[in-house]
Amino acid sequence: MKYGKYDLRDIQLRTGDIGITITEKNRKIFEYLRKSPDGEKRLYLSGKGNLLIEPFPPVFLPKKITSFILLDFESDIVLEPSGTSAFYTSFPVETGVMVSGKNDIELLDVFSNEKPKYTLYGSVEQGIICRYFKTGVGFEPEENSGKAVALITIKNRYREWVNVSRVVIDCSSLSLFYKEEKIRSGNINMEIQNRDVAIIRTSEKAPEKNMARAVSLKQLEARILAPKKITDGRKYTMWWGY
Amino acid sequence: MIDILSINVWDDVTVKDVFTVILTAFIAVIVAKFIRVNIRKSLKNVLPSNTLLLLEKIIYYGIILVAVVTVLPQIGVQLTGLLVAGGILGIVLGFASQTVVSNLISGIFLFIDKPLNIGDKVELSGVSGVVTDISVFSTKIRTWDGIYVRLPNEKVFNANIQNYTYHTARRFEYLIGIRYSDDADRAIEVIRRVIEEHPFALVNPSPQVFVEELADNSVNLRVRIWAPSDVWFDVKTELLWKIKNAIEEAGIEIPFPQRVVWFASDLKLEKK
Repeated sequence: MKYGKYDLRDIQLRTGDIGITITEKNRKIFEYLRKSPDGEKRLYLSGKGNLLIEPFPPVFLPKKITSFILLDFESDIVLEPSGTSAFYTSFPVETGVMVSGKNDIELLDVFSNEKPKYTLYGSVEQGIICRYFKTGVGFEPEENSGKAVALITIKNRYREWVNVSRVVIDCSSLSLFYKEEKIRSGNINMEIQNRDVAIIRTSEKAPEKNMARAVSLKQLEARILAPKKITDGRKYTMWWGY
Repeated sequence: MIDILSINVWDDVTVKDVFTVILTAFIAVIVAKFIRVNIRKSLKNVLPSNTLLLLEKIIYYGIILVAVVTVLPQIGVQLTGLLVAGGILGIVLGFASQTVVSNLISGIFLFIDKPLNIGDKVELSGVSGVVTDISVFSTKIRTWDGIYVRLPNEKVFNANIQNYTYHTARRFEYLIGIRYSDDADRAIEVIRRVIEEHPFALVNPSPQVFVEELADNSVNLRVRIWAPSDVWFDVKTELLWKIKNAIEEAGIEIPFPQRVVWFASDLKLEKK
């Protein structure tokens, strides 16, 4: 599926088992229909605007309970003291469908071809829940539909050899970029401090030229969890959805 | 030169005495403000804003009151009577506000100790539900059946608190019986597959499925699954039925209680 901005008109898009259809039902009223193996989502759009289809950080499905992802490498990386190594990996993203117009954006739908799975990183007392991915590592970026390619640089600042088998990324600070079907994440830097501790930093810069920046998790959360305003006695405000 | 400070304002009170009182009150206000600002800075991440505001006000006005009361006899205001009356009033108020103060102090300790937060799913003092508010004097809980319960903080502080969402993940378990004639290894494999398909059945800590008991009527399998604390109840309710359906689809049955009866002599059955 090509990511990007589409005019609101009759559209048919397909990615894997999932198909999206936009049909004009009436003047300025469009039907959005997403068909996937686990069911369908239908809603109506009223007004002028654009359809925005972008890669989302993979933390929304089946419902958002965390902003972290854990990439579990199929092959461990063993690194010498003070050594540096860089390699490519990839992880599936979710696809977000939004409608934009008149300086505002509304989230319509999030879907993915991947079956979500979660894990605990750390202890039961202080750990964090992460979306779990088993992923391979390579030395060339491998393009896969619906997957974001990430360049991970590991620096071993510890005096001993280390064995790296996973990386945890906070998607709140992760930038995703796209160009048509190609998805890249901002570069990821992992700094090994000692036998147990590593610091992960993500870059905001686009890894390649001419790529569009996808809407960030922070922006999405501000939109979804917008602060509620206080009401007065003369009107009723539907706080809990409409 | 006239000594202005020694001029009597009234009775034996001189200008110097009046200035002393004014200066003391002024210094008390400055000290109170300084302490107030420092308390706000140090406790702003510990106490909620409304509690902090109340504490600030109590300390601010308390310091000023003590300073003024201490210095008032300087200008001839005798507080002996006031102190006696105040003492009696204090005893009365002390008895009356014993519970209120106890709740206030418990509330402050609750904010520092943080055994529960707003949104936590808890059970305490026989009440089970979601914490909706924690104020200086009380904690409000919405029970599972939607009832509003207000618990005084003193009671909350002294209670045994079970906080179901304090930790990131939580384990739940099932006991599933299968027939003696069924293949337990196959049943374990089917159950593991169902668990693997559920998004919130955590990869780590890994689920456990094993034969726990050769019971009277069935081979009992123990299933232990970890799930994020926020969604564990949904996972628990969803998975049990999915497991039941999956093992039945695999030809494995959950047996009814049964008893084998042996007769001492051959049992003769007559067919009609």
